[in-house]
Amino acid sequence: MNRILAAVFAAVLAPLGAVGPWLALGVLSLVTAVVMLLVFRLVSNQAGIRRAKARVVGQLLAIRLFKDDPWMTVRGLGGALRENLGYLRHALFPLLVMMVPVGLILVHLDPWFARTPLQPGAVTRVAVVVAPGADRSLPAVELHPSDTGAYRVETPPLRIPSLGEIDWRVRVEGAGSSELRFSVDGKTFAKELVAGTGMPRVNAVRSRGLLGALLYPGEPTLEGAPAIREVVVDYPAREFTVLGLSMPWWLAFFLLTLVLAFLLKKPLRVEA
Amino acid sequence: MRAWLCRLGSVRALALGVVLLAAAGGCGSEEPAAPVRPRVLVLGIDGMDPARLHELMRAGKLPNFARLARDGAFLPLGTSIPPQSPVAWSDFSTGMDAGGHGIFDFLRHDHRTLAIAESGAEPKKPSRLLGIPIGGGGMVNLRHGRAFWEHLEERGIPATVCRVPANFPPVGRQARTFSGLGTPDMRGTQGWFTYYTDQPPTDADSFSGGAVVEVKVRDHVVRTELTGPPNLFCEDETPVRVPLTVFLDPERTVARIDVGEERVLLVPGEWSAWVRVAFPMAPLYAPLYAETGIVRFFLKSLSPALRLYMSSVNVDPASPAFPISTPPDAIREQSRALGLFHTKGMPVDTKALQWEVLDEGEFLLQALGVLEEEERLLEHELAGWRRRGGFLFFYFATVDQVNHMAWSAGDARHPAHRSEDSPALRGAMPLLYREMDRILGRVRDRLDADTTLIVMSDHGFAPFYRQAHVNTWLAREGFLALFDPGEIEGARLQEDVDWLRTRAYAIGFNGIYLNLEGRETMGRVSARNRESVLAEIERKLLAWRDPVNGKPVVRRVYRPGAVYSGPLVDRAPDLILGYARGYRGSNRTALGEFGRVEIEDNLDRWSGDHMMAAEEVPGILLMNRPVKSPHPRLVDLPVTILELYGIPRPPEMIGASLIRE
Ligand SMILES: [Zn+2]
Repeated sequence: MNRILAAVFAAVLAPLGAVGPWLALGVLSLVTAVVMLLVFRLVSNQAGIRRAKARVVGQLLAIRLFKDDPWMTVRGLGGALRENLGYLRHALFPLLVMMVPVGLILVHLDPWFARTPLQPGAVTRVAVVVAPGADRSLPAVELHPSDTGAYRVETPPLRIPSLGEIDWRVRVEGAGSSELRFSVDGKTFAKELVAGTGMPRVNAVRSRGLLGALLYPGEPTLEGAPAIREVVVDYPAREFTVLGLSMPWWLAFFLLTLVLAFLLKKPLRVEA
Repeated sequence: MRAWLCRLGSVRALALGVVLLAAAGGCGSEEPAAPVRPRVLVLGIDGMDPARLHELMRAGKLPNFARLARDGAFLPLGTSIPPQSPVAWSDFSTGMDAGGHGIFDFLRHDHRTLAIAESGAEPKKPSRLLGIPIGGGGMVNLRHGRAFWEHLEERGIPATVCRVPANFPPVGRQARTFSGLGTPDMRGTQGWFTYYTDQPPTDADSFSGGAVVEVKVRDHVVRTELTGPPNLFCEDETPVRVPLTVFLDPERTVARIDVGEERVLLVPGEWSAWVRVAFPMAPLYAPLYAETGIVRFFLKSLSPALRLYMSSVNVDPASPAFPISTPPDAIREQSRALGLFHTKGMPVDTKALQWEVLDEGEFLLQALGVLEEEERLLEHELAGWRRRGGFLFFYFATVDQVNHMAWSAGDARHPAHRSEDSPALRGAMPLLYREMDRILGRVRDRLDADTTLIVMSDHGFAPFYRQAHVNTWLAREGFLALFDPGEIEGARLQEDVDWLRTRAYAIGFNGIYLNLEGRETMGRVSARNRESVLAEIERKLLAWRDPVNGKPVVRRVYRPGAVYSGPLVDRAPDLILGYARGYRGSNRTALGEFGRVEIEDNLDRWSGDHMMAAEEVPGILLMNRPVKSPHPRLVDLPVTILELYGIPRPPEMIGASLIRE
């Protein structure tokens, strides 16, 4: 299911990426906003929300009318608060329902928006995280040189027993996607390395198990080599700047979706 | 952006919004139609010396300089009084002498308290509301007068001025200017390295310009801190410290430095690229507001000791914490094109060599790295200048800074000369001259026929064999009295001088001041006696002989009234010392302190200098057209540049055009 979703996102984002991260994010926010509003209309009690809002307005009106009477004002405020909670109750269930797809969307969009590929010539850290042995000794993992000249391993392995981690510094030599190839105990495994420009999918982590598949859907999970927990490549973060404030992609996405959903409420006739 | 937010409400406006938003994320471009002519390019090479240049040209080592000299002109360039970079470059920028621009020395002092500060800029405390800075803070450029590029921008001539000294904070409106020498690091210093080690050197306590941080390696991990800028939100401006972790491979073959989000792997002997460090400083939740700086690491060794050098925390060119360019965005634009690069003035870490935190080869490698960045910046600016036309100035710091440190290695007569000095350092000066020649060649190949090219330096170079403790000399000659003459070594003007019996004192690198009534706190010299005391000091200075070899110590004594013009003459020292070749005022003198004897050997690695008589250390001038004056001076250059654009000499500029008979 996750693999299918990843393929769907890839089919949409590969061409969308060509127009630049902002436009891609804008289009996705627009789609998300419309879908969310439709789902909200479907699963929420629209009539209930309308009534709840009307009651809140009624209580506020009462406060204005009796503003010279402190007792009535306090009662009005209490009423408004109560009705507001009622309104929230109507909105809460649909919000909970929507958290699942939103979470999935975030996990799948992350590799496209969170990071930029490495520039040819840039250096990065490659880390293999291992399950530590009883004596905290680390398995002898090897990172092999690239046979296509895609990268160069510039340092000996750095073993960090306290983190259960083995690191290398790797210099990217060419553009495009290539494979970092490792071996441990005669078994081999690999991790994608993405270089160049534009907006390709950039997976920072290749992991294993169900959780690995759920959180890092961009690359297949690690099979075999049970001592290896995950492989990590550091990529530069892609920053989005809104009115001079730079923020991570997901915040820009949330803000954009929120604004768009607010604006589309009326045209789509959604009570929220 | 706000305009469209108000108008939204329909789906049509929405589509527009998405498009606008996308455009906001893209990049804008603005280019004029045709490049402005004439084009004028000035390459400023701090400290390039005419005698050395001539010698290397004659030896055939500098073909591009030789060609420029043959096709145009090559002359010594009269420097400022005194020949200190901030003074000289201010002469160049304003066309005035120190009496006009007010920069008389690297240092200035308060006549009442004798407190010393840098001469170029002054920090202003921000006004605060509930401890939160709300404005008014920052630095003030103390240089007076108008820079020549302000005349250019006034006439709509595009001008770019890269890193000219004494231009911090930078001045200019339309002109693109970048501050150079005088630009502090994030901590507000002119240079502050950090040396992390588990085996600190024994002289660590005496370090200046840097600090040793003693660390412990536990379980192959070092947990320490990186000290950053003062926190704006603390009224006492406590520096922000961020964690710095070093993971060492158990075999000590490689290490990883973690700071903020960055993880840098180095093997011993390697320099890191520039690393960006965020310094969170907001109250309550610090990450809400952070300033960023950049550092470079050099991993000297992992075994037997951990030795890790870290550079000054430079201002991040991509997100400067204080203005280092005009318009403020110009430095960000440079950084978008070139990534990270040094922004501090005096970028070569001479202190690290002095304290042997970097050895000679490591120091030279760092200097060449700086030159490489300078060249990349020049390339970038040349490309923009070719599109826009107009004026471009570009400054190189490396020749001066390396010459200061490399002189003794190449001069067997120098007291600091050591036979074990590395051949690399001995060859450093010719190497840098050849590098400048290579860069000149690359630049010249791409110039139009109608471009005026000027290559100049602010002053030359001379050996610094012997250091003069002027306050000690003044005491011996009876102009200055100490409470305890037996305790002269390390005495200080502020604490140890009997001002009631003192007529003169020295502070700064070339200045002598009278203890003047109405100016100094316990002024002893009246206005009426002023001239006779000055004449007596002057006469004795010129008669001052080095007891070791009988040579004169002072070649010229300048009177401000005779050598300066302009409204600020009365801020000048009362006498300006022009040392003979080989002599210079000691660092102690500059700080208002005393040495044991009047003159002693300079055993410091800082072994070449130029703060002598102006006649001893002229700069260079090369131009690809005839120079009409036999004795060109720094102050003539701005007049000449303006003349090339048909702008008449502004009345305050004291120089003359070099291209008119
Ligand atoms: Zn110098």
